Amino acid sequence: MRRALTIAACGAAALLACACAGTAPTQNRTEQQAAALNQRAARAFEQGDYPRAAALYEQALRLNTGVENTEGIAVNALSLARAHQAAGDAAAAHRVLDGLLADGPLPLPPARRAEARARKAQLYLDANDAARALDWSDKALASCAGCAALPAIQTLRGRSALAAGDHAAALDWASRALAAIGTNPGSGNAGERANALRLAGEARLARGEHQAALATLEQALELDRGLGLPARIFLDLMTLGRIQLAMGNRAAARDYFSRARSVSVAANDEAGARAASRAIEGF
Amino acid sequence: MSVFSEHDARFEGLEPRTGLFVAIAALIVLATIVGSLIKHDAFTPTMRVSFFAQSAQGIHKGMSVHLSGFRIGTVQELSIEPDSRVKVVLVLEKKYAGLVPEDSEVGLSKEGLIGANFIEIEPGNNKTRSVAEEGVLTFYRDIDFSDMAKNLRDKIEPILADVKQVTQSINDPEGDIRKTIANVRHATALVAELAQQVNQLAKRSEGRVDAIAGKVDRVLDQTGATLERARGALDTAARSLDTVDRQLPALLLRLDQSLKNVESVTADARRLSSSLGDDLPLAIREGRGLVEDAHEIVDGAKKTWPIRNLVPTPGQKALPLDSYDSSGSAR
Repeated sequence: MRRALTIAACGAAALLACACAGTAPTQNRTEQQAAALNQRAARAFEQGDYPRAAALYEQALRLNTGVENTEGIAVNALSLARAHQAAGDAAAAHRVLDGLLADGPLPLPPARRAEARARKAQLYLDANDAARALDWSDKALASCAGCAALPAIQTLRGRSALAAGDHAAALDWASRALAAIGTNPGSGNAGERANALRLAGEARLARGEHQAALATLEQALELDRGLGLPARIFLDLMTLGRIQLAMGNRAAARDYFSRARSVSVAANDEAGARAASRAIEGF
Repeated sequence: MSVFSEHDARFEGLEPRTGLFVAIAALIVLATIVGSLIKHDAFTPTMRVSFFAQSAQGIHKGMSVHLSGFRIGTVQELSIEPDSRVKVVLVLEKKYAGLVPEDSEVGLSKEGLIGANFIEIEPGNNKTRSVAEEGVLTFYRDIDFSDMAKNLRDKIEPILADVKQVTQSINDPEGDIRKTIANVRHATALVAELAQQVNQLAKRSEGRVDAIAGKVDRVLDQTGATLERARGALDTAARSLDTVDRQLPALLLRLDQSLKNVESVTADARRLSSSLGDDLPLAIREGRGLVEDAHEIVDGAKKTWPIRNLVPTPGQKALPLDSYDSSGSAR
């Protein structure tokens, strides 16, 4: 018995020694600096300080370019483009994405290429250029064979179709995105589910299916409230207001627009607050 | 015996005397003829030149021909040509021919405004070639008095027409001038009426100005009171300044003392920093080394099991793609 205990203790000590001797996956010093910059940039972005976020992502991008870290280059370039987009500098965002998508010596992973193309589509949607948004979202879909961003890209394709006036296609892409999230829960998320539901609601509103649109948007709102995303809650409330207005329920519509204004004011979203105020003044 | 004597002494030499008288008379007649011929230039060498004019008006035979104010010939002959032009032949003294170039022009001039007409030769530019015998000169007609009168009439006629029109316009009761005069008359009447109204207004205003003057007097009285109060305030300020003036030296003295204290503290601080000057960099260097050591130890600890499983490895992440991302919106 004593011998067995001794053997067991020796085995445990050997295992412990092996564990201690094993080395963790390491990063070089440049990659560590780049990672620190990337994390600081993400925090700045979350705080709404887009210019600072862009500056930090740019530094991280430079460090990754110096050590030819392909994934680091793609990650920081995509984030830099998003920071420029959020800051309202679409031209700078296009420049970064064009540089990333240009054929260079380092191959860009297909999933990252799909994300870059999707960002281009978003920029064109912002500019109300539905034709180019459709083109780039199709390109993104072509690059995204089962990539993690597939539901987002499908929803984006649906938004482009809706902007182009193809309501049926928009509804179809929303359904595909919901299906992709449903069949592959690991790749989807509640945020994209809410987005797909919002798109479906907007498409149904455009088709005059008000009741169905109302039900879909309420689901989206529920999800966004659960996620605590004020910008998305604002979009849901505004769309609900428009649905109520289309149904002739002016008082209900006014309530939704007022709620949307309160949400945007609380989130320091001046543009949103102005949009909601304009909607209220329209009565 | 004969009654009359056949030889009368009174008739002696009668025959030669009569012959002498006849001879003298003949000589006088001859001299008169010669003088007349000389006078009419019968012995002066001459040459004939001609010119053509559209009309013979003002030109007549025997008319003088002048060059630079000198008479050098006459008009010898006038004749009408088959083409209705008038050919005028001049006889010029040959000695002046050299002064008349062949491109000279001939004109009709007048001695003064109402004097006799004469032919004036305007010498041409070609001085090398003089006019030849039977040469033809060019004629030009100067503007004479009648032409000038005609020109003057042509110019005055429209002016007279305008004057007539203006006079008619003035006389026309419906014309602008008559209407303007009527308007001026009306305006003058209005001005007179206005003057009367202004006069009445001035009378009314006089009373109001008196009332305003009363109010102004009251305002001035109030202003005087205000100025009195201001004077009082100034007196107070002056007293305050006196107080400050008295207390300022003491304050400055205190301030001076405080500055001295500050100087002494600064000197102490300088002494202290100079005494630390040698030790402080070493302490900082050592502190930095300690921090680096601590960093390495913490890094090492993070990489060892089981801590490395508890601390997340810092990685680079892209901002997640959201299908509703747009400008100006974060997640």
